[in-house]
Amino acid sequence: MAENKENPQVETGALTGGQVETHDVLAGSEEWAPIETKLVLGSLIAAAIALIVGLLIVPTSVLH
Amino acid sequence: MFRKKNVLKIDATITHDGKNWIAFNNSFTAAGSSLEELDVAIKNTLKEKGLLPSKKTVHVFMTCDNEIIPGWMRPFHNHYFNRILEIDN
Amino acid sequence: MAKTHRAWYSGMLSTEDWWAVWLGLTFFGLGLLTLAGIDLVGWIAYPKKWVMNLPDGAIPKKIVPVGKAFYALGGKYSLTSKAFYKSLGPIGSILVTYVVFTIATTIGAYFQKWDVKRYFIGWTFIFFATYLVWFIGHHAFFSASVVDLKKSHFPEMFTLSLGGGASFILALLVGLIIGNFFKPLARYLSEAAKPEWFIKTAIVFLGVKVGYLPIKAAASSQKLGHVLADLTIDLFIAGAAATIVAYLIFWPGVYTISRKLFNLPRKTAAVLASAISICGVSAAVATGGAVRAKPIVSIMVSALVVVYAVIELVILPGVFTHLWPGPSDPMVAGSAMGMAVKTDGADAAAGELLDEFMRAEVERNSNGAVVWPEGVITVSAVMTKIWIDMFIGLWAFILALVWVYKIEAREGERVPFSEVWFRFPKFVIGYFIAWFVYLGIFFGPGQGGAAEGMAILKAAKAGAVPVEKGMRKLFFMLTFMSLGIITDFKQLHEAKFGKMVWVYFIALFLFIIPVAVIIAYLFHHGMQLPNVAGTALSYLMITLQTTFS
Repeated sequence: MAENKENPQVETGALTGGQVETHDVLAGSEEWAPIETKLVLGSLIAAAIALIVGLLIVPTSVLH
Repeated sequence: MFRKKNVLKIDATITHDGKNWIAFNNSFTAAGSSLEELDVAIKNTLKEKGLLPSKKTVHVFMTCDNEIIPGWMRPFHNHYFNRILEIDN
Repeated sequence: MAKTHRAWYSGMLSTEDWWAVWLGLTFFGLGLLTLAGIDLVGWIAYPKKWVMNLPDGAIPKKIVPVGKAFYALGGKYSLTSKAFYKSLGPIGSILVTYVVFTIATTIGAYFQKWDVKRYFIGWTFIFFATYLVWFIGHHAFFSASVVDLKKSHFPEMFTLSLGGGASFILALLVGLIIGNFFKPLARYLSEAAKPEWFIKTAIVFLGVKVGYLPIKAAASSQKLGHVLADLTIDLFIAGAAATIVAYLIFWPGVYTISRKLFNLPRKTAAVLASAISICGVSAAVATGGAVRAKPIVSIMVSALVVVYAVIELVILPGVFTHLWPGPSDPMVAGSAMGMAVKTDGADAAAGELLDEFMRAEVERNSNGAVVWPEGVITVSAVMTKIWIDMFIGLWAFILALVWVYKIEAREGERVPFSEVWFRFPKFVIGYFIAWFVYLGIFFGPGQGGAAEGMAILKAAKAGAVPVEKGMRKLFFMLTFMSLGIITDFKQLHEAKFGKMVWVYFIALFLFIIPVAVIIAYLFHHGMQLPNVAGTALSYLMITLQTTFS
């Protein structure tokens, strides 16, 4: 574990009072990128596979 | 994630002061408003201080100072992230 | 001093997650000593339903006069020190409970570097306020069911039949009143109002309960013991499948709603998606870190999560009991609760309320002919939650890979695999140890409930009951009270949340909750709770439509 006791910014702690910038939390939406489509679809496809496998192997599922 | 041979590891701590990401250890401190800027600052600082040996890969392993997560939130999850910056020199 | 995680054992002495393990396993370990004939846990003070004076003809069985409103559980269950624990009386047992847990939790507070003096004062206030509320909530008017009245030979009396749920609701109410109307006090108490710590400890105690369920049932019938053991294992398997499917549907759904419908930036959408979809604050922190968001994103989302979680806690147990899925599908309701309610504290608390409401409802509807074992619905709610808590670490790692290598693709940045471990919820280890050790006792020396193993099982019971019943319920009560204290509804009015409030509202109520119930139905519909109406010796299996019959 490394640390710098001489670093005043660290010693005073971080996210307090007016130091934080909240503007870019809600603003500045980027264009929808193809990788996001991949992420969303990939997740849904994985869900579908997990659902089918789960329904087949879980003994208390509605298929049993 | 991937380990290489002949790698020099430098441990550092990373934190955020509300505006800037800051990486530091006993030998250097670097800051940037984005991680991209931080990484450039780290490379420059290490180079200036002569901490980058030539023909060697350096891994700056940054462990997050989890105190950037407010105290009331830490009981829920107390780890923000660790990251490695790989510098080929 | 910076709090960083570099080695695998980082945080073992300084994080609340590990301290839930140490605290939980300490008392679990003390409970196990009853196997060696040493009872060190029977002092825990537990409430009974009470009235000021018993009416003529009534017998103090399920409902007692006010002077006996608390008792040390060891006075009833201990095999070796029954007389001693009985002699503690109500006040004595509460004081011993206070002293033991004050020492234990203050040690934890010290190592976690909290303000120990403030913790001690705050803890003392919260502890006694909790016991006071526990006492009031157990007045027969709030808590007594038709079965309780019948067993106590009470004349007709109107009661709310809320069971132990009344105490939980009252604890939450008192906490919310403090948190919203006495803010300076709430700020002071916040050093000791730690719902996540309390609930994680309670979940380790719940592990004892899961393992103890078959032992308890075996006292009546060996077959019932096996049914309960199978039921808990089925919950474990079905919970895993349901959680994975749900998460993989929830996350992209909420992400797309946030991005397409509300036009939020990528990182905010990702953090919101994890927080609303699954485990609230912990997911917000984990995902915020994974996508390298500035910490303020996780902070804002988390502030929203804790308020919504309490709203869910207040609304969902009643809705799930009386509207949908209802008492015909208790395991579906429990499992859906685990997937719908954010934060471990609010979820386990909602599961416990659901357990109380559902059991009271079926007892009332059947006029006492159907009685479900206590705690199984809570277990179903917590089981899905535990899977979720484990899964978020993996999901955050996947997101980190996608963000770091694809979306942002900063040159030279690498994601260490150790992140998966640092995000793993450690209290889960305590839960599984407690569960599997008691399950091991049941199937091992307990011989699966056969007559030859009964002596061991009885000894195990004496140590398990004070932990799984007394300590677990106490820590649930502390969770309800603390949740209320740290919840400030005014935060919702603060403009800085902007459209996130609406993303949350729409995603939660129109997407997450219905989908959670449907997925829970797909995997848990086959499960029914056994009817344990009647005396301990006449456990009857009325409804076993399942594969484990």
